[in-house]
Amino acid sequence: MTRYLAKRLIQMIPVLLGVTLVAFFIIHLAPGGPMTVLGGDAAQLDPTQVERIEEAYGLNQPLHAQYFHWLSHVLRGDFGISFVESRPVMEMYLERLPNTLYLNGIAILLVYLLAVPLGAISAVKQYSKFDYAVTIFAFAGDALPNFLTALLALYLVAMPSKGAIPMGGIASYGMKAEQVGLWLFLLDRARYLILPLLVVMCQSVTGVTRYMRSSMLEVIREDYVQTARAKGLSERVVIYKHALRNALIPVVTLAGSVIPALFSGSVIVEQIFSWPGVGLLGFRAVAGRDYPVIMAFLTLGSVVTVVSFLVVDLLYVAIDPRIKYE
Amino acid sequence: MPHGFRDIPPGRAFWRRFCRNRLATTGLLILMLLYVMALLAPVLATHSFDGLASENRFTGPSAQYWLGSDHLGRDIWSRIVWGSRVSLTVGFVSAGVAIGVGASLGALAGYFGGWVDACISRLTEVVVSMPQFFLLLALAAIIPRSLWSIMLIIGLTSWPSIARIVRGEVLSLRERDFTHAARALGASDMRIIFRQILPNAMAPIIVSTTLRIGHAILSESGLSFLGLGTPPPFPTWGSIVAGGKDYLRTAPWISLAPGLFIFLTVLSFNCVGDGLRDALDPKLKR
Repeated sequence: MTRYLAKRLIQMIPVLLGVTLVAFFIIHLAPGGPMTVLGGDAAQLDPTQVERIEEAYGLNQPLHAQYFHWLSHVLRGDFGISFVESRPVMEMYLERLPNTLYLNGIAILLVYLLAVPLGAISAVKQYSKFDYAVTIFAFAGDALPNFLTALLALYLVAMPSKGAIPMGGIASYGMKAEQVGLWLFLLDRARYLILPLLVVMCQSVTGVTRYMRSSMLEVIREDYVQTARAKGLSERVVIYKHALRNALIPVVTLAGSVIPALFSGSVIVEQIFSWPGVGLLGFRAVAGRDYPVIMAFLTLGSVVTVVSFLVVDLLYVAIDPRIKYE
Repeated sequence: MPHGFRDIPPGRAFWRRFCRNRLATTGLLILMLLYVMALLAPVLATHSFDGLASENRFTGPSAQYWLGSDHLGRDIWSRIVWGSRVSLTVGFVSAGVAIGVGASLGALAGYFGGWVDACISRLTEVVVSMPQFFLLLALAAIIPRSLWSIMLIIGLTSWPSIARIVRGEVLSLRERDFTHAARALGASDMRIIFRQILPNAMAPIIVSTTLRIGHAILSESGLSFLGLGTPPPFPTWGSIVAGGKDYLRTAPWISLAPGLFIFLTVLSFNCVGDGLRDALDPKLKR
């Protein structure tokens, strides 16, 4: 196990280095380059001014030197200073992270709570009306672009609600728990949360449901489920104790691709609902060509993904005794 | 069928199996209609896609403006019809790029193994681990935007899933008798890969391509919605939706009509892809 872990950790190094290389070079090879952001139209600037800006941001160094300089700071958790806001990038990211964690954390929790029973029942009652309904729902959800879901939510819920459900934002201005009491505070939060939450869930619930369904279908055909039936166990015990538990194992691995969303958020959803999370930060950085923020975003997103894949694989060993990594 | 042999079954059997799937055939029919629409855009469009008519702003669906008009008095139906050319082209070309890159890299990794496999696998992991949509967004913002660059970046960020599928297929196909036979006859590695192995891995490739097309259309419309998709003059479905989002209360048709077209198109590609999977490989049916 230790050897397996060591091997996986070593394999992560070239991947993450590759990510930093991609993140760094696509941005620095871009036409215009960072100068256009920092100095506006470079042609109109005094050459001494250009030089001064280049020196301040280290842009006069050769590209590989810039890369190693950037990388050595990244390894210390320092992603540099935002071109637009002139603040440490890490500070900006951490400031907004709680808002994204809050939205996506609740969403993922509810997605699993909803998708696992839906998928399981759908599999147990394969070809029933319920199964067809779930399948059609999953198909429809997969094809629905999230901006359309968001606009539909605004049009069908927020607009007719006459302000009860707000069009965007995260909380009413100046609403503090100490002043209005905990219940009113939570109610206010919930009013703002509901629509973005629904849209984020809509995006991922279909995938998990379908995965759960096929996993369950596979398990209920296994010999040990037949054995459990042959022992005379009631159908309920067979399905919910023997089959469901085993069917859940592959669904856990799916978390590896769901967890990264916790940390990078959804650009489109946060943009439509003016949700002050990291997705919106990322979008503004892209729109304003704020290169340090973009590079930080690509790198941090990949780190989270790589780590969560590893965690999921380790979790796999912990919950499934049949699997051993050597 | 010889054991484990996966090939496209003889045409007629395949077609019959495909036609039995009502969702898939409906999807195919809708896609054919959409293609006719794209081809006949100059005939079907009742107005020009950028013809302004300030006296007719925000008209609801009517005989003159089938799906209403937008804030500049442009006809939504005509814009959707012209936009279908962009969306469908983007879907096909970017899926093509993804297949080209993914299948080649996957085949090389699976066939040669060793350090080639290790390098390609790490490269795949690099692309997979980057936040997909954000990478796309960053590239779209940085590279000079054109229809071609959008298709290229969508293709170049979405090949890993195909590479993985193809690698797995090739790993099992390279030990088959027909591969050994080809090698014994003196065929070169490249000839074996592209003439013997890949044609036999066609079934999963075709299925994932079909699903990729729908996915690419979603990606492009997401980019267009954020204002970073295919640049003007041609309207794209995503940009029409974005154009109407500020007038949702008074003129919901501007956003909802093109949104519905995106939904329908992607849904159809997914249904056809699913039907193809069942028809090409009955064992894969879940």
